[in-house]
Amino acid sequence: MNAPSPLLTATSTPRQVRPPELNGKGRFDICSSTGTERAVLLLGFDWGTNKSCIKGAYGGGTDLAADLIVPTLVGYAKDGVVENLLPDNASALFGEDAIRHRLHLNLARPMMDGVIHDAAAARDFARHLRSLLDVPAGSEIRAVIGMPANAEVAARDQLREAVAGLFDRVILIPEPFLAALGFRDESRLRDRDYVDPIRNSLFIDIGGGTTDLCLVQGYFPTAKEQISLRFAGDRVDALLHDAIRRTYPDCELTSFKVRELKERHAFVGTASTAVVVSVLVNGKVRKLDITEQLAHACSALLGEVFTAAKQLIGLSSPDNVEQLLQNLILTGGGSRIRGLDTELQRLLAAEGYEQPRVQLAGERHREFVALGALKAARQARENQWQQVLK
Amino acid sequence: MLCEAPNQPEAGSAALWQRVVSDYRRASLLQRQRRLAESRFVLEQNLAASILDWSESTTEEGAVKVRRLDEMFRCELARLEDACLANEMNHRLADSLLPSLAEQIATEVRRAVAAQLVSPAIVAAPVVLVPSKPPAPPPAAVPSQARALASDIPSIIDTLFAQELAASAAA
Repeated sequence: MNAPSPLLTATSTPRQVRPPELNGKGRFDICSSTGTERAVLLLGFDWGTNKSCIKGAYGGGTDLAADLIVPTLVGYAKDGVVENLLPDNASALFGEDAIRHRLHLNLARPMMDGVIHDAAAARDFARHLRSLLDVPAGSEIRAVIGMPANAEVAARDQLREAVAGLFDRVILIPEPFLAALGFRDESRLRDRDYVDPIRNSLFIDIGGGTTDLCLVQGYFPTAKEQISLRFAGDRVDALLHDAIRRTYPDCELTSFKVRELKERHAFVGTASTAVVVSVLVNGKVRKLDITEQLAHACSALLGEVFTAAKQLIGLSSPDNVEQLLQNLILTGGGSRIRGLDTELQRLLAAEGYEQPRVQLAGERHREFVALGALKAARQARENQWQQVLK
Repeated sequence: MLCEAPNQPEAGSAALWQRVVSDYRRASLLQRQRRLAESRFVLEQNLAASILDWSESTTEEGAVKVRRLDEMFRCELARLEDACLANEMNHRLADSLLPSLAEQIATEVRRAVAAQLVSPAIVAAPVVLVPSKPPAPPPAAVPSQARALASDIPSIIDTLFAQELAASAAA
Protein backbone atom coordinates (compact mmCIF):
# COMPACT_ATOMS: atom_id res chain seq x y z
CA MET A 1 0.00 0.00 0.00
CA ASN A 2 1.24 3.39 -0.84
CA ALA A 3 -0.67 5.37 1.75
CA PRO A 4 1.25 8.27 3.20
CA SER A 5 2.40 8.06 6.76
CA PRO A 6 1.89 11.10 8.99
CA LEU A 7 5.57 11.85 8.78
CA LEU A 8 7.55 11.09 5.77
CA THR A 9 11.06 11.10 4.62
CA ALA A 10 13.90 13.24 5.81
CA THR A 11 14.84 15.32 2.85
CA SER A 12 17.28 17.83 4.26
CA THR A 13 20.91 17.32 3.53
CA PRO A 14 22.75 17.89 6.76
CA ARG A 15 26.43 17.44 7.29
CA GLN A 16 26.77 14.23 9.20
CA VAL A 17 29.51 11.99 10.31
CA ARG A 18 28.63 8.39 10.87
CA PRO A 19 29.53 7.22 14.33
CA PRO A 20 32.30 4.71 14.55
CA GLU A 21 31.05 1.17 14.71
CA LEU A 22 32.85 -1.80 16.18
CA ASN A 23 36.30 -0.42 16.79
CA GLY A 24 34.95 2.92 17.93
CA LYS A 25 33.25 1.42 20.92
CA GLY A 26 35.86 2.76 23.28
CA ARG A 27 34.77 6.29 22.45
CA PHE A 28 31.22 5.70 23.52
CA ASP A 29 29.98 6.84 26.84
CA ILE A 30 28.54 3.94 28.74
CA CYS A 31 25.22 4.52 30.38
CA SER A 32 26.05 3.26 33.82
CA SER A 33 22.57 3.66 35.21
CA THR A 34 21.21 0.87 33.09
CA GLY A 35 24.16 -1.42 33.53
CA THR A 36 24.14 -2.10 29.81
CA GLU A 37 26.70 -0.98 27.28
CA ARG A 38 24.93 1.53 25.10
CA ALA A 39 26.43 4.14 22.86
CA VAL A 40 25.40 7.55 24.15
CA LEU A 41 25.04 10.35 21.65
CA LEU A 42 25.19 13.72 23.37
CA LEU A 43 23.41 16.59 21.65
CA GLY A 44 23.46 20.33 22.05
CA PHE A 45 20.15 21.50 20.67
CA ASP A 46 19.29 25.11 19.95
CA TRP A 47 15.61 24.96 18.99
CA GLY A 48 15.29 28.39 17.51
CA THR A 49 12.15 30.16 16.36
CA ASN A 50 13.45 30.39 12.79
CA LYS A 51 16.48 28.14 12.68
CA SER A 52 17.44 25.14 14.74
CA CYS A 53 20.96 23.96 15.30
CA ILE A 54 22.16 20.61 16.60
CA LYS A 55 25.70 19.65 17.52
CA GLY A 56 26.21 16.05 18.50
CA ALA A 57 29.10 13.93 19.69
CA TYR A 58 29.49 10.55 21.25
CA GLY A 59 30.33 10.72 24.92
CA GLY A 60 34.02 11.32 25.42
CA GLY A 61 34.63 11.93 21.72
CA THR A 62 35.74 15.21 20.24
CA ASP A 63 34.54 14.65 16.66
CA LEU A 64 31.11 15.92 15.82
CA ALA A 65 28.76 13.07 14.95
CA ALA A 66 25.92 15.43 14.08
CA ASP A 67 26.11 18.99 12.83
CA LEU A 68 22.81 20.35 11.55
CA ILE A 69 21.23 23.70 10.95
CA VAL A 70 17.62 23.39 9.81
CA PRO A 71 15.00 26.11 9.36
CA THR A 72 12.34 25.56 12.03
CA LEU A 73 9.43 25.07 9.68
CA VAL A 74 6.99 22.30 8.86
CA GLY A 75 4.93 22.16 5.69
CA TYR A 76 1.94 19.84 5.38
CA ALA A 77 0.78 18.87 1.90
CA LYS A 78 -2.31 20.75 0.86
CA ASP A 79 -5.45 18.76 0.12
CA GLY A 80 -5.67 17.80 -3.48
CA VAL A 81 -1.97 17.87 -4.25
CA VAL A 82 -1.51 15.30 -6.95
CA GLU A 83 0.72 12.35 -6.34
CA ASN A 84 4.46 12.70 -6.76
CA LEU A 85 4.33 16.49 -6.92
CA LEU A 86 6.23 16.62 -3.63
CA PRO A 87 9.52 14.80 -3.10
CA ASP A 88 8.88 11.14 -2.27
CA ASN A 89 5.18 11.97 -2.35
CA ALA A 90 5.64 13.28 1.20
CA SER A 91 2.70 14.51 3.21
CA ALA A 92 5.01 16.70 5.29
CA LEU A 93 8.24 18.48 4.48
CA PHE A 94 10.63 20.24 6.80
CA GLY A 95 13.19 23.04 6.80
CA GLU A 96 14.56 24.08 3.43
CA ASP A 97 12.35 21.57 1.64
CA ALA A 98 9.27 23.12 3.19
CA ILE A 99 10.40 26.56 2.05
CA ARG A 100 11.17 25.33 -1.46
CA HIS A 101 7.79 23.62 -1.91
CA ARG A 102 5.72 26.09 0.11
CA LEU A 103 3.32 26.67 -2.78
CA HIS A 104 1.84 23.22 -2.21
CA LEU A 105 2.10 23.16 1.56
CA ASN A 106 0.30 24.54 4.57
CA LEU A 107 3.18 25.94 6.56
CA ALA A 108 3.29 25.59 10.33
CA ARG A 109 5.79 27.25 12.64
CA PRO A 110 6.50 25.04 15.62
CA MET A 111 8.06 27.87 17.64
CA MET A 112 7.14 31.45 18.37
CA ASP A 113 8.87 33.84 20.74
CA GLY A 114 11.36 31.11 21.54
CA VAL A 115 8.84 28.61 22.89
CA ILE A 116 6.58 25.98 21.37
CA HIS A 117 3.65 27.53 19.60
CA ASP A 118 2.22 24.59 17.62
CA ALA A 119 2.62 21.39 19.64
CA ALA A 120 1.78 19.03 16.78
CA ALA A 121 4.16 20.71 14.37
CA ALA A 122 6.84 20.83 17.07
CA ARG A 123 6.50 17.12 17.63
CA ASP A 124 6.71 16.44 13.90
CA PHE A 125 9.72 18.71 13.57
CA ALA A 126 11.48 17.03 16.49
CA ARG A 127 10.75 13.65 14.93
CA HIS A 128 12.23 14.89 11.68
CA LEU A 129 15.40 16.06 13.41
CA ARG A 130 15.64 12.73 15.16
CA SER A 131 15.40 10.99 11.78
CA LEU A 132 18.38 13.00 10.57
CA LEU A 133 20.56 11.59 13.32
CA ASP A 134 22.29 8.54 12.03
CA VAL A 135 22.71 6.54 15.21
CA PRO A 136 23.34 2.83 15.65
CA ALA A 137 20.37 0.82 16.87
CA GLY A 138 20.14 0.70 20.64
CA SER A 139 22.01 3.96 21.13
CA GLU A 140 20.84 6.40 23.73
CA ILE A 141 20.34 10.02 22.79
CA ARG A 142 20.72 12.71 25.43
CA ALA A 143 20.11 16.35 24.64
CA VAL A 144 20.79 19.60 26.41
CA ILE A 145 18.21 21.97 24.99
CA GLY A 146 18.29 25.75 25.15
CA MET A 147 15.30 27.68 26.47
CA PRO A 148 14.62 31.41 26.68
CA ALA A 149 15.84 32.78 29.98
CA ASN A 150 12.34 33.51 31.26
CA ALA A 151 10.59 30.38 29.97
CA GLU A 152 7.71 29.35 32.19
CA VAL A 153 7.11 25.89 33.61
CA ALA A 154 4.38 25.19 31.04
CA ALA A 155 6.73 26.07 28.18
CA ARG A 156 9.36 23.74 29.58
CA ASP A 157 6.84 20.93 29.92
CA GLN A 158 5.68 21.47 26.36
CA LEU A 159 9.21 21.21 25.10
CA ARG A 160 9.82 18.00 27.01
CA GLU A 161 6.61 16.57 25.63
CA ALA A 162 7.68 17.43 22.10
CA VAL A 163 10.87 15.41 22.39
CA ALA A 164 9.58 12.62 24.62
CA GLY A 165 10.34 9.26 23.13
CA LEU A 166 12.64 10.81 20.53
CA PHE A 167 15.45 11.72 22.88
CA ASP A 168 15.99 9.46 25.85
CA ARG A 169 17.11 12.07 28.35
CA VAL A 170 17.16 15.84 28.39
CA ILE A 171 18.31 18.84 30.39
CA LEU A 172 16.98 22.35 29.75
CA ILE A 173 19.32 25.32 30.22
CA PRO A 174 18.75 29.04 29.46
CA GLU A 175 19.96 29.97 26.00
CA PRO A 176 21.90 33.15 26.70
CA PHE A 177 24.14 31.34 29.14
CA LEU A 178 24.64 28.54 26.64
CA ALA A 179 25.64 31.15 24.05
CA ALA A 180 28.31 32.44 26.42
CA LEU A 181 29.47 28.91 27.12
CA GLY A 182 29.58 28.13 23.41
CA PHE A 183 31.52 31.28 22.65
CA ARG A 184 34.15 30.40 25.23
CA ASP A 185 37.33 29.05 23.68
CA GLU A 186 38.74 26.63 26.26
CA SER A 187 41.89 26.10 24.23
CA ARG A 188 42.87 29.71 24.84
CA LEU A 189 42.20 29.94 28.55
CA ARG A 190 45.95 29.96 29.28
CA ASP A 191 46.54 32.68 26.74
CA ARG A 192 47.19 35.87 28.71
CA ASP A 193 45.61 38.00 26.04
CA TYR A 194 42.43 35.95 25.96
CA VAL A 195 39.47 37.40 27.81
CA ASP A 196 37.38 34.54 29.17
CA PRO A 197 33.82 35.51 28.24
CA ILE A 198 32.28 33.87 31.30
CA ARG A 199 34.39 35.93 33.70
CA ASN A 200 32.79 39.27 33.06
CA SER A 201 30.73 39.94 29.99
CA LEU A 202 27.33 40.88 28.71
CA PHE A 203 25.95 38.54 26.05
CA ILE A 204 23.31 39.82 23.68
CA ASP A 205 21.83 37.01 21.58
CA ILE A 206 19.42 38.32 18.95
CA GLY A 207 17.41 35.44 17.54
CA GLY A 208 14.23 35.16 15.52
CA GLY A 209 11.71 35.09 18.35
CA THR A 210 13.57 36.54 21.30
CA THR A 211 16.52 38.72 22.11
CA ASP A 212 18.26 37.34 25.17
CA LEU A 213 20.68 39.34 27.27
CA CYS A 214 22.74 37.73 29.95
CA LEU A 215 25.23 39.12 32.43
CA VAL A 216 27.91 36.56 33.20
CA GLN A 217 30.38 37.55 35.89
CA GLY A 218 31.99 34.31 36.92
CA TYR A 219 28.75 32.87 38.26
CA PHE A 220 25.66 31.41 36.69
CA PRO A 221 23.42 34.44 36.17
CA THR A 222 20.44 34.95 38.42
CA ALA A 223 16.98 35.60 36.97
CA LYS A 224 17.60 39.34 37.34
CA GLU A 225 20.76 39.06 35.31
CA GLN A 226 18.98 37.57 32.32
CA ILE A 227 16.51 39.43 30.15
CA SER A 228 14.48 37.87 27.37
CA LEU A 229 12.79 40.34 25.03
CA ARG A 230 10.09 39.30 22.62
CA PHE A 231 11.51 41.75 20.17
CA ALA A 232 13.85 40.11 17.72
CA GLY A 233 14.19 39.19 14.06
CA ASP A 234 10.51 38.40 13.56
CA ARG A 235 9.41 41.76 14.93
CA VAL A 236 11.90 43.51 12.66
CA ASP A 237 10.39 41.57 9.75
CA ALA A 238 6.89 42.62 10.77
CA LEU A 239 7.87 46.28 11.11
CA LEU A 240 9.66 46.22 7.77
CA HIS A 241 6.73 44.51 6.08
CA ASP A 242 4.27 47.09 7.44
CA ALA A 243 6.49 49.98 6.41
CA ILE A 244 6.89 48.61 2.87
CA ARG A 245 3.12 48.07 2.61
CA ARG A 246 2.46 51.65 3.67
CA THR A 247 4.97 53.09 1.21
CA TYR A 248 4.22 50.76 -1.68
CA PRO A 249 0.63 49.61 -1.20
CA ASP A 250 0.55 48.05 -4.66
CA CYS A 251 3.53 45.78 -3.91
CA GLU A 252 2.56 42.88 -1.73
CA LEU A 253 5.65 40.94 -0.76
CA THR A 254 5.66 37.58 0.98
CA SER A 255 7.06 37.27 4.47
CA PHE A 256 9.84 35.11 3.02
CA LYS A 257 10.83 37.91 0.64
CA VAL A 258 10.76 40.49 3.41
CA ARG A 259 13.01 38.34 5.56
CA GLU A 260 15.36 37.81 2.64
CA LEU A 261 15.57 41.59 2.07
CA LYS A 262 16.23 42.16 5.76
CA GLU A 263 18.93 39.51 5.94
CA ARG A 264 20.69 40.98 2.94
CA HIS A 265 20.37 44.70 3.61
CA ALA A 266 19.59 45.33 7.30
CA PHE A 267 21.51 48.19 8.86
CA VAL A 268 21.39 50.71 11.66
CA GLY A 269 22.89 54.18 11.72
CA THR A 270 23.41 56.13 8.57
CA ALA A 271 23.11 54.32 5.28
CA SER A 272 26.16 54.77 3.08
CA THR A 273 23.98 54.40 -0.01
CA ALA A 274 20.29 54.03 -0.63
CA VAL A 275 18.98 50.47 -0.39
CA VAL A 276 17.16 49.93 -3.66
CA VAL A 277 15.95 46.40 -4.26
CA SER A 278 14.39 44.70 -7.25
CA VAL A 279 11.29 42.67 -6.55
CA LEU A 280 8.77 40.91 -8.74
CA VAL A 281 5.27 42.34 -8.61
CA ASN A 282 2.72 40.57 -10.77
CA GLY A 283 5.56 39.09 -12.74
CA LYS A 284 7.18 42.45 -13.47
CA VAL A 285 10.39 43.78 -11.95
CA ARG A 286 9.91 46.78 -9.64
CA LYS A 287 12.67 48.73 -7.95
CA LEU A 288 11.86 49.77 -4.40
CA ASP A 289 13.85 52.11 -2.21
CA ILE A 290 13.52 50.57 1.26
CA THR A 291 16.28 52.54 3.01
CA GLU A 292 13.98 54.37 5.41
CA GLN A 293 11.84 51.32 6.09
CA LEU A 294 14.89 49.23 7.00
CA ALA A 295 16.31 51.98 9.16
CA HIS A 296 13.01 52.32 11.01
CA ALA A 297 12.63 48.58 11.67
CA CYS A 298 16.23 47.94 12.68
CA SER A 299 16.46 51.05 14.86
CA ALA A 300 13.49 49.82 16.87
CA LEU A 301 15.43 46.65 17.68
CA LEU A 302 18.54 48.67 18.54
CA GLY A 303 16.47 50.79 20.94
CA GLU A 304 15.20 47.71 22.76
CA VAL A 305 18.66 46.20 23.02
CA PHE A 306 20.13 49.48 24.25
CA THR A 307 17.54 49.82 27.03
CA ALA A 308 17.96 46.23 28.21
CA ALA A 309 21.77 46.43 28.05
CA LYS A 310 21.75 49.54 30.26
CA GLN A 311 19.55 47.71 32.75
CA LEU A 312 22.02 44.82 33.06
CA ILE A 313 25.12 47.02 33.09
CA GLY A 314 23.49 48.83 36.00
CA LEU A 315 23.58 45.58 38.00
CA SER A 316 27.35 45.32 37.80
CA SER A 317 29.38 46.51 40.76
CA PRO A 318 31.58 49.61 40.34
CA ASP A 319 34.65 47.37 40.61
CA ASN A 320 33.62 45.23 37.69
CA VAL A 321 31.81 47.55 35.36
CA GLU A 322 34.89 48.90 33.60
CA GLN A 323 35.95 45.43 32.50
CA LEU A 324 32.37 44.52 31.68
CA LEU A 325 32.09 47.45 29.30
CA GLN A 326 34.98 45.96 27.34
CA ASN A 327 33.11 42.69 26.85
CA LEU A 328 29.75 43.44 25.34
CA ILE A 329 29.19 40.61 22.88
CA LEU A 330 26.57 40.50 20.15
CA THR A 331 25.57 37.13 18.75
CA GLY A 332 22.62 35.41 17.01
CA GLY A 333 21.23 36.16 13.56
CA GLY A 334 20.45 39.76 14.54
CA SER A 335 24.13 40.44 15.11
CA ARG A 336 24.49 40.47 11.32
CA ILE A 337 22.63 43.77 11.10
CA ARG A 338 25.23 46.10 9.67
CA GLY A 339 26.45 48.71 12.12
CA LEU A 340 24.63 47.25 15.12
CA ASP A 341 27.84 46.89 17.12
CA THR A 342 29.14 50.38 16.38
CA GLU A 343 25.74 52.03 16.89
CA LEU A 344 25.18 50.29 20.23
CA GLN A 345 28.67 51.31 21.25
CA ARG A 346 28.00 54.90 20.16
CA LEU A 347 24.72 55.07 22.08
CA LEU A 348 26.33 53.72 25.25
CA ALA A 349 29.21 56.17 24.96
CA ALA A 350 26.77 59.03 24.37
CA GLU A 351 24.95 57.95 27.52
CA GLY A 352 28.20 58.41 29.45
CA TYR A 353 29.49 54.86 29.78
CA GLU A 354 33.26 54.71 29.90
CA GLN A 355 34.73 53.56 26.57
CA PRO A 356 32.32 50.73 25.88
CA ARG A 357 33.43 48.08 23.41
CA VAL A 358 30.83 46.04 21.59
CA GLN A 359 32.14 43.08 19.64
CA LEU A 360 30.51 40.62 17.29
CA ALA A 361 30.65 36.91 18.06
CA GLY A 362 31.43 36.27 14.42
CA GLU A 363 30.46 33.98 11.60
CA ARG A 364 29.50 31.06 13.83
CA HIS A 365 26.83 33.10 15.60
CA ARG A 366 24.15 30.54 14.79
CA GLU A 367 26.07 27.76 16.49
CA PHE A 368 27.07 29.09 19.89
CA VAL A 369 23.94 28.04 21.78
CA ALA A 370 24.17 24.49 20.43
CA LEU A 371 27.93 24.38 21.07
CA GLY A 372 27.39 25.58 24.63
CA ALA A 373 24.64 23.00 25.08
CA LEU A 374 26.96 20.24 23.88
CA LYS A 375 29.63 21.39 26.33
CA ALA A 376 27.03 21.29 29.11
CA ALA A 377 25.92 17.81 28.01
CA ARG A 378 29.47 16.56 28.30
CA GLN A 379 29.78 17.86 31.84
CA ALA A 380 26.37 16.94 33.24
CA ARG A 381 26.38 14.30 35.93
CA GLU A 382 24.80 10.96 35.16
CA ASN A 383 22.01 11.51 37.68
CA GLN A 384 21.12 14.92 36.30
CA TRP A 385 19.71 13.66 33.04
CA GLN A 386 15.95 13.84 33.04
CA GLN A 387 14.17 10.91 31.52
CA VAL A 388 11.19 11.93 29.47
CA LEU A 389 8.40 9.44 29.07
CA LYS A 390 5.83 9.34 26.33
CA MET B 1 -13.53 -8.19 12.82
CA LEU B 2 -11.51 -10.53 10.67
CA CYS B 3 -11.97 -10.23 6.98
CA GLU B 4 -9.56 -11.32 4.32
CA ALA B 5 -9.73 -9.92 0.84
CA PRO B 6 -10.37 -12.91 -1.43
CA ASN B 7 -7.33 -14.14 -3.22
CA GLN B 8 -7.26 -14.56 -6.95
CA PRO B 9 -6.59 -18.24 -7.60
CA GLU B 10 -5.23 -17.96 -11.13
CA ALA B 11 -1.48 -17.58 -10.90
CA GLY B 12 -1.15 -15.45 -14.01
CA SER B 13 -3.55 -12.82 -12.80
CA ALA B 14 -2.57 -12.91 -9.12
CA ALA B 15 -0.25 -9.95 -9.41
CA LEU B 16 -2.84 -7.94 -11.28
CA TRP B 17 -5.43 -8.78 -8.65
CA GLN B 18 -3.07 -7.61 -5.91
CA ARG B 19 -2.74 -4.34 -7.78
CA VAL B 20 -6.53 -3.97 -7.84
CA VAL B 21 -6.68 -4.58 -4.09
CA SER B 22 -3.81 -2.20 -3.44
CA ASP B 23 -5.29 0.59 -5.56
CA TYR B 24 -8.69 0.28 -3.92
CA ARG B 25 -7.13 0.27 -0.47
CA ARG B 26 -5.17 3.39 -1.31
CA ALA B 27 -8.21 5.19 -2.71
CA SER B 28 -10.28 4.31 0.36
CA LEU B 29 -7.60 5.53 2.74
CA LEU B 30 -7.17 8.80 0.87
CA GLN B 31 -10.91 9.36 0.96
CA ARG B 32 -10.95 8.68 4.67
CA GLN B 33 -8.17 11.26 5.10
CA ARG B 34 -10.35 13.76 3.21
CA ARG B 35 -7.78 13.90 0.42
CA LEU B 36 -10.59 13.72 -2.04
CA ALA B 37 -8.83 14.88 -5.16
CA GLU B 38 -6.09 12.31 -4.74
CA SER B 39 -8.65 9.62 -3.94
CA ARG B 40 -10.62 10.47 -7.08
CA PHE B 41 -7.42 10.42 -9.09
CA VAL B 42 -6.56 6.90 -7.87
CA LEU B 43 -10.11 5.66 -8.45
CA GLU B 44 -10.42 7.04 -11.94
CA GLN B 45 -6.90 6.51 -13.20
CA ASN B 46 -5.17 3.72 -11.34
CA LEU B 47 -8.03 1.52 -10.14
CA ALA B 48 -9.99 1.63 -13.39
CA ALA B 49 -6.92 0.58 -15.33
CA SER B 50 -5.92 -2.15 -12.91
CA ILE B 51 -9.45 -3.65 -12.89
CA LEU B 52 -9.43 -3.68 -16.68
CA ASP B 53 -6.02 -5.39 -16.78
CA TRP B 54 -7.06 -7.98 -14.22
CA SER B 55 -10.38 -8.62 -15.93
CA GLU B 56 -8.65 -9.30 -19.22
CA SER B 57 -6.17 -11.65 -17.57
CA THR B 58 -8.73 -13.99 -16.00
CA THR B 59 -11.00 -16.50 -17.64
CA GLU B 60 -13.74 -16.28 -15.00
CA GLU B 61 -17.22 -15.31 -16.03
CA GLY B 62 -18.39 -11.73 -15.69
CA ALA B 63 -20.75 -12.43 -12.80
CA VAL B 64 -17.98 -14.18 -10.86
CA LYS B 65 -15.64 -11.28 -11.44
CA VAL B 66 -18.21 -8.78 -10.21
CA ARG B 67 -18.91 -10.87 -7.12
CA ARG B 68 -15.21 -11.15 -6.39
CA LEU B 69 -14.77 -7.42 -6.73
CA ASP B 70 -17.80 -6.70 -4.52
CA GLU B 71 -16.48 -9.02 -1.85
CA MET B 72 -13.05 -7.40 -1.96
CA PHE B 73 -14.56 -3.89 -1.71
CA ARG B 74 -16.61 -4.94 1.32
CA CYS B 75 -13.62 -6.57 3.04
CA GLU B 76 -11.31 -3.65 2.41
CA LEU B 77 -13.85 -1.17 3.75
CA ALA B 78 -14.31 -3.31 6.84
CA ARG B 79 -10.55 -3.47 7.37
CA LEU B 80 -10.31 0.29 7.06
CA GLU B 81 -13.14 0.73 9.56
CA ASP B 82 -11.37 -1.58 11.99
CA ALA B 83 -8.11 0.30 11.58
CA CYS B 84 -9.81 3.65 12.14
CA LEU B 85 -11.62 2.32 15.18
CA ALA B 86 -8.35 1.06 16.64
CA ASN B 87 -6.77 4.42 15.93
CA GLU B 88 -9.62 6.22 17.66
CA MET B 89 -9.32 3.93 20.66
CA ASN B 90 -5.63 4.75 20.85
CA HIS B 91 -6.39 8.44 20.82
CA ARG B 92 -9.00 8.05 23.53
CA LEU B 93 -6.53 6.09 25.59
CA ALA B 94 -3.93 8.78 25.14
CA ASP B 95 -6.38 11.60 25.82
CA SER B 96 -8.13 10.30 28.89
CA LEU B 97 -6.65 7.26 30.56
CA LEU B 98 -2.94 7.93 30.13
CA PRO B 99 -3.02 11.55 31.37
CA SER B 100 -4.65 10.52 34.63
CA LEU B 101 -2.11 7.74 35.06
CA ALA B 102 0.67 10.14 34.18
CA GLU B 103 -0.65 12.63 36.70
CA GLN B 104 -0.48 10.06 39.45
CA ILE B 105 3.09 9.16 38.50
CA ALA B 106 4.07 12.81 38.32
CA THR B 107 2.71 13.45 41.80
CA GLU B 108 4.64 10.53 43.23
CA VAL B 109 7.86 11.45 41.45
CA ARG B 110 7.74 15.11 42.38
CA ARG B 111 7.02 14.21 45.96
CA ALA B 112 10.03 11.90 45.98
CA VAL B 113 12.27 14.53 44.38
CA ALA B 114 11.10 17.20 46.78
CA ALA B 115 11.82 14.88 49.68
CA GLN B 116 15.33 14.34 48.36
CA LEU B 117 15.97 18.02 47.89
CA VAL B 118 15.27 18.90 51.50
CA SER B 119 18.12 16.64 52.49
CA PRO B 120 21.35 18.61 51.93
CA ALA B 121 23.36 15.41 51.55
CA ILE B 122 21.50 14.32 48.45
CA VAL B 123 21.75 16.07 45.12
CA ALA B 124 18.94 16.25 42.64
CA ALA B 125 17.96 12.80 41.52
CA PRO B 126 17.08 11.89 37.94
CA VAL B 127 13.64 13.27 37.34
CA VAL B 128 11.08 11.29 35.44
CA LEU B 129 8.87 13.79 33.68
CA VAL B 130 5.57 12.81 32.24
CA PRO B 131 3.55 14.49 29.53
CA SER B 132 0.81 15.98 31.59
CA LYS B 133 0.21 19.03 33.65
CA PRO B 134 1.09 17.91 37.15
CA PRO B 135 -1.05 18.86 40.11
CA ALA B 136 0.47 21.31 42.56
CA PRO B 137 3.02 19.33 44.58
CA PRO B 138 3.10 19.54 48.34
CA PRO B 139 5.05 22.60 49.46
CA ALA B 140 8.69 21.66 49.84
CA ALA B 141 11.47 23.72 51.29
CA VAL B 142 14.09 24.43 48.64
CA PRO B 143 17.45 24.87 50.29
CA SER B 144 19.12 28.19 49.73
CA GLN B 145 22.13 27.61 47.50
CA ALA B 146 25.34 29.48 46.97
CA ARG B 147 25.70 30.80 43.43
CA ALA B 148 27.13 28.26 41.06
CA LEU B 149 30.36 29.13 39.29
CA ALA B 150 29.82 29.73 35.59
CA SER B 151 32.31 26.98 34.83
CA ASP B 152 30.66 24.46 37.15
CA ILE B 153 28.00 23.00 34.90
CA PRO B 154 26.76 20.27 37.30
CA SER B 155 26.14 22.86 40.02
CA ILE B 156 24.35 25.08 37.49
CA ILE B 157 22.08 22.22 36.53
CA ASP B 158 21.33 21.57 40.21
CA THR B 159 20.46 25.24 40.58
CA LEU B 160 18.16 25.09 37.59
CA PHE B 161 16.39 22.00 38.95
CA ALA B 162 15.85 23.70 42.28
CA GLN B 163 14.52 26.83 40.54
CA GLU B 164 12.15 24.79 38.43
CA LEU B 165 10.85 22.85 41.39
CA ALA B 166 10.28 26.07 43.26
CA ALA B 167 8.47 27.52 40.25
CA SER B 168 6.33 24.37 39.93
CA ALA B 169 5.44 24.53 43.59
CA ALA B 170 4.54 28.21 43.27
CA ALA B 171 2.37 27.47 40.24
